[in-house]
Amino acid sequence: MTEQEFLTALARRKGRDRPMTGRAGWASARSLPPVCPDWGVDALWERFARELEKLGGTAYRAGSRADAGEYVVRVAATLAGLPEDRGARGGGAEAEVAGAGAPAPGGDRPVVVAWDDPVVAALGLRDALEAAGLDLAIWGHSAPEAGQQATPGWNAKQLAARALAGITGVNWAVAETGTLLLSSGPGRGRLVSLLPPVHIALIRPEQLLPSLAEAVRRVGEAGELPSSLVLITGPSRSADIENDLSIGVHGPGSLHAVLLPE
Amino acid sequence: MNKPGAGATEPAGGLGGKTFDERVSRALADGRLRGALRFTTDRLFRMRRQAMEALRASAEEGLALGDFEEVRARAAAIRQHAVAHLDFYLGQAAEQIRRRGGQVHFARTADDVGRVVLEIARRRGADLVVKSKSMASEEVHLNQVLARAGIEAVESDLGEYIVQLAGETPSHIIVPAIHKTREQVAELFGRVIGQELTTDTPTLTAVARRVLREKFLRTEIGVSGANFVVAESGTLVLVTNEGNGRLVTSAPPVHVAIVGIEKVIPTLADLSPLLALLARSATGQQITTYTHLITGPRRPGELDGPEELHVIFLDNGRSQLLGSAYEQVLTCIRCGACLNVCPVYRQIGGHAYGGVYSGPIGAVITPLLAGRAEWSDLPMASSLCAACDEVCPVGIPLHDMLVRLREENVAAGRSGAGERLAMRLVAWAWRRPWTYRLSGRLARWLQRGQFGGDGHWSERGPGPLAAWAAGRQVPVLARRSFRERWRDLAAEPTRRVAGSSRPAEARSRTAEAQGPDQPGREVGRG
Repeated sequence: MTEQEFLTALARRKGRDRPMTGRAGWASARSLPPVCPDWGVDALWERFARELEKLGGTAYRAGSRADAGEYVVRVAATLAGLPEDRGARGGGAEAEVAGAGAPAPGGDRPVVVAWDDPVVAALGLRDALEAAGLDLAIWGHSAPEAGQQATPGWNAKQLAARALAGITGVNWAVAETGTLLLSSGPGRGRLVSLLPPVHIALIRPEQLLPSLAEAVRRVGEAGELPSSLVLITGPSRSADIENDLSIGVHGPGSLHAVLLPE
Repeated sequence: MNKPGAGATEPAGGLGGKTFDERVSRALADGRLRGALRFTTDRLFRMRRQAMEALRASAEEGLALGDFEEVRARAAAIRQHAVAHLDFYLGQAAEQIRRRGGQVHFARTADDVGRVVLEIARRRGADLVVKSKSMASEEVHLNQVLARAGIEAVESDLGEYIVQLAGETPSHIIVPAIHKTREQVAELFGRVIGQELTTDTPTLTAVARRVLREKFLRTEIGVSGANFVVAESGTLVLVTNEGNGRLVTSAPPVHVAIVGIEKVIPTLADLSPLLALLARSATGQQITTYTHLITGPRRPGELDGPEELHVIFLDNGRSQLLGSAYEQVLTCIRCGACLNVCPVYRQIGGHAYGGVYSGPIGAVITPLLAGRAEWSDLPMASSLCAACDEVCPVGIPLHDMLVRLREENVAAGRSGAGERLAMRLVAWAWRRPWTYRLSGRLARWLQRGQFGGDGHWSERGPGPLAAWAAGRQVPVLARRSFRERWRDLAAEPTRRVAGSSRPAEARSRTAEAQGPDQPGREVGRG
């Protein structure tokens, strides 16, 4: 059955000879609240932190850029130093998986993977991580030739799978629900916030928004959507075994949101 | 009508029975299942209510569009508009998906879906497909289709994985494995990795994470459903908690989404009220852990995400409902709230329904999609209390539809001979005043001595009513019928001095006159 036949059959059920084209006359503006409250950074962060921590995430407001960098290294180093506690309270199985058959670009040293993003670069993490015995891998940009994408993609996947932690920026952070919005793009791998047992997200103050509805509005105003836009609210969870909450099922079991200074 | 749900007649993984009655009896006899059902549905119900209270607070702060009723009105309008203009929005969605490099397939039947997926799998040389929870793929029994072609299909949602290992089907749309104990899960997982496991949740979760992680990284094809498709941008929206939905759509080189045609919504803004209600209705969360918006395949410069994106729009009987009295059922967003409040589901669970969908929504859409004659028992699985209507986030009048399906069953001669006889008798008797009066007298005569001290019929109730009365309180007919009392009541005001015959006064004096022991008062309370 062709698409046209398929759609025509639908149209006929509604008494139309052929599928509608043009406009269906829909006022979508009414799907969003008309105004958004104007909260300052303190109120926004206070609510964001409260909501995220309710879900088992950690919110940290850095006093300075150096403080933010130290916090990130501290989280990552804690993981490296205590391999029995990888942050995923699902417990200890990750290292084995991550190590299995994965190429080790930086040798056998534990690795932290990060977006190629100015907000990460500004923290100058590489030296501090190295001092703590950790390699920093920056998510790359693939070769533009289509045929070449599969191989670097595979390596990137293996890299993210064996990383102890993934460091990303965000597009927006929502106070109402403690939600982070992350778009994909060159240097902004979607697996960075997904495969490692720990996700550390860096937030600039102007990225804080009061409500999810406002975030949806901003995303719409930004024009073309990215190939992947994910709204992350707390660590990965499930209650599928006897309604018992477990954290870190497939995604990160540990989520740290760090607010950078203005 | 074609038989799109032919496979749906298969009994639920050995947990069912041949007939609805058999499956219900089996479920009712399973004390552990009933305990788990009660615990789970109570918990989800409670969390939903708290979440809706929180939504009201959010609305008061200016963060949300409104409280439950207000957001629901908007969500219902969006879904009804989209379904009423499905030809337009589906065409738009398909065009937008293709514009961004995705491929679109239209599947009229379940078999069409199998063909498309198999063709993709063969072309990619895949022997493994990893799936995230998708009701549409359950509906077309994709796992069996793939297995027959020698392709392993692995469910990656924790609950679905448990159910798949056990060779069963989900018992709840949101919590698929509520019928399994942790001991059973430990045994299933232990068999997979060949070692004995402790039964604590972290151990079991870690095993699933490890086993499935390897499959996520190795598989060539990820299969998902979609909760919504935004027509204006061709965006697939996936709502999950565990992260498997993200993995399936981000790690493998090929992503295949199987989506019911009714899932389209006009614009991104329309996603906002629907997201505000979906998680709150399903699990009582404000929003699920992951809400993933996928717009086309991987773009130049990206190192991950699928190179190939296929969207299969599935009809499978849905288009037959457009323009019918059941059109609104297509607005369902599969939150499962109606299951948790349903007094029938809460007793019998999902397997008793026998189809892919259970609860009130299953009792409506299984007959509609898979055959009214074959599934004629399901609309009877309701007390018509309308609790489902009350919690439905898109305001589907489920209980009206259940009544209509029952009417259709009767009109098509699908009711029992006893029921038909009884109904004919009632229709005959209540058409004439004298037979109507006679029926009342007969009933009062029959109930003599049938009720216990509490003024209710005991299980000794007459004939076929005995079984029904065993678990319920049957209200008792008043000693005098309303018509008989009316004669006195109508005469009363004229007997009284004008001016003091206020109705309230008349009522209270009548009650006094009847005395406290009149069974007639029970009728008023019931």
